[in-house]
Formats: sequence, C-alpha cells, structure tokens
Amino acid sequence: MQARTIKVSHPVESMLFGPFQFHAHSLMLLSFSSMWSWGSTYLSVSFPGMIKEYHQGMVAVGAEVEYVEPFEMFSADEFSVSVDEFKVRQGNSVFQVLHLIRAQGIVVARVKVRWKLLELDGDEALSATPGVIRPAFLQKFLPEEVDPSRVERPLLAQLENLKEHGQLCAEFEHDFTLFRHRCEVADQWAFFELPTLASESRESLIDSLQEDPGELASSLGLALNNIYMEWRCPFYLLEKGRVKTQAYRLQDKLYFAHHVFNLTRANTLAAIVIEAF
Amino acid sequence: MKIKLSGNLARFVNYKKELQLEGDGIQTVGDALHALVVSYPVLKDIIFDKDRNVKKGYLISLNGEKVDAAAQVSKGGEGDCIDIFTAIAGG
Repeated sequence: MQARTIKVSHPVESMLFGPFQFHAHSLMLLSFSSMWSWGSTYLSVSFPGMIKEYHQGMVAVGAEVEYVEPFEMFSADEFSVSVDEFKVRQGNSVFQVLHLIRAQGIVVARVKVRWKLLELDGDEALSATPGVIRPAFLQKFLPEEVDPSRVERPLLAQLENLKEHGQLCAEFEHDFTLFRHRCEVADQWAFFELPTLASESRESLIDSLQEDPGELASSLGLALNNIYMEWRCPFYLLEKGRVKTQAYRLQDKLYFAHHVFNLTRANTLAAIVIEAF
Repeated sequence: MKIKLSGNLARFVNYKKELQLEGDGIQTVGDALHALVVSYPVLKDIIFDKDRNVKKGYLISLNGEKVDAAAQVSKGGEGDCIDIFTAIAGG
C-alpha cells in the first residue's frame, strides 16, 4: 500500500525567516500543524479529538531540524511542509513524525519529532501520566505504521562527541522566565520555543564577549546546519530557567551545546539543545 | 505552612504564587493536601484519584525533597513548604 503522506503549501513571507534560512521555530510550528492535517485526513482524529475522545495527550521528547539545502526568503515564492512518515514507535508509547520541507521540487529541510504519549485522567487540568496509545486509537494506524523498536536519540552521540573531541571556547549562563507567549494551551512551554531559548542564549553569549578569539560572533553570519533537541521535564508559566551554553570548535566548525535547567523545579535538567553550524 | 502549585494547577487557585495553610492537626503531607482541597474543592478531583490517593501524574516535594503523602511535616507545619509538580517528562 502507498505510504500515507500529506503535503501542505505555504506562501513565503519574511516572518518565517532569519537572514539566511527558515527560523527553526517556524519549521517546527508548521510541521506540528501538518501533523494534525495528517491526523484529520488519515485517522479522522483532530488534536482536540485526541484529548476528548481518546483521553490521550503527548509531549515532545526529541527533535532534529536539518537544513538540507540553502534556502532563504528570496529563493522561492512558496514552499510545502509534508508528513512523510508517521510511526507509532517504542512499544506503542511514542509518535515519531518525519516532515520534509520542499520548495521548487527539492527538499530544503527536514524536521523529525518524537512525541511521548500520555494517558489523561480526564480532569479539567489535563492531568496525565506517560503511557501507550489506547487500542481504539491504535486501530486507526496501518500495520506498517507501527514499529515497536526503541527510537533513536541522536543528540546523545553528538553531545558525547563534542565533549570528547571539541575544543571548548566559551561558556555562558542565560536566565529567563517562562512567559505565556512561549506556552501552549496548558501553560506549558511550547515545543517550538526550545530552539529560540537556545539561540537567545547563544546570541547573549556573543553579545557579552569583550574579546572573541574563537570568532564566535562569526556564527551570526552563518546558516545553521543542524539542531538536535531533547526535552526532559515540563516547564510551566512563570517558572524560572537557566540556559547554560557552551561554545565548541570541532574540525573547523562551530557548535553550541545548551543545557536548560528549571530553577523552580530544584534545578532539574529540562532540555538539551545542540546547534551545529 | 506554604503550598505551591505549579503549571496546570495554578489556574485553579487563581494563580496565587503561594497558599498559606494553617498547620493545626496536620501531621503528614497527605493531611496538608486534604486540607488544601477543603479550601479549594475544585482541586479534589484533580489531585486525588477516586481512592483519595494522590494521582500518579503529580510529584510532591516537602522543603525541596521529593516525598510521598505519608511524609511527616514539622510540628504545626511551621516553616514547611509543599510543592506539587506534574510528573510527566518532555515538553
């Protein structure tokens, strides 16, 4: 049977981009929207329907954004975001979704996101525990869309490689408060805001430099190649956070590793991001 | 005794940063939570399951240490702070 895919077209406009490429948060937000176009089309399940009818929620636990080809605002007038693969992974506990961003017939970026499934208690607060997909919901997927194997976690290998072989150039701490404009409906941080917190800390680091022997400021003139992300714990409205950023050079390339801590929650590690230029 | 509710619970107490609870008769964290839902009945079915146990979706800490509902509070709850967090991982 042909794979169930969906492609959603969008006009190119300036808010989606930085000077050199799509903002990562633009791609992640549009990808999430396409995920639910796929859900409506092939599963007849909307996001609110997943919660109301199946008492199921989900939180992001891992994602990668890969910029495959140079693509900036003047490269084309429109682009599309697809769901090319939607799989139920890891013993029916994770949705893994691959999105391709295409323009003029070529793939310019890839976004892959892993969503941990939650079982909702059905109360007004959307209280939840980690769980698996409920049988009635699972029935809507094709057999080839169910893969019980564990999901990959590419960030961990990247982080280990940086720590082992990279040259640490600078470190910085960026404090923040999570305000509602960065939150989703349950006042928890919106997943597409994680790369914005990372880039904020990187740019703050660069802004703070008195001297720049590692030429970190040059990253402001470069396009990102990859972003690797993992989420470890929730972050809620008005909670305080700290991004600890480390800049590395490895084989003439710049990398920034960001560890996000939730200070309100006893300094718990809430997320890790690696930006690779 | 102070009680702090984070995240999805905050709206049920009108986003108050801290709630003050009188410590009289409160010996355990569980006692404190049951006293809390007397003041805020809407929280009863959110924090507790039908067997009156704290739902698995929540973590409780007492003065920064993760505890269960049976944990003893100080006499009269003087100086104690209970935090209620959601237990899910991810973002």
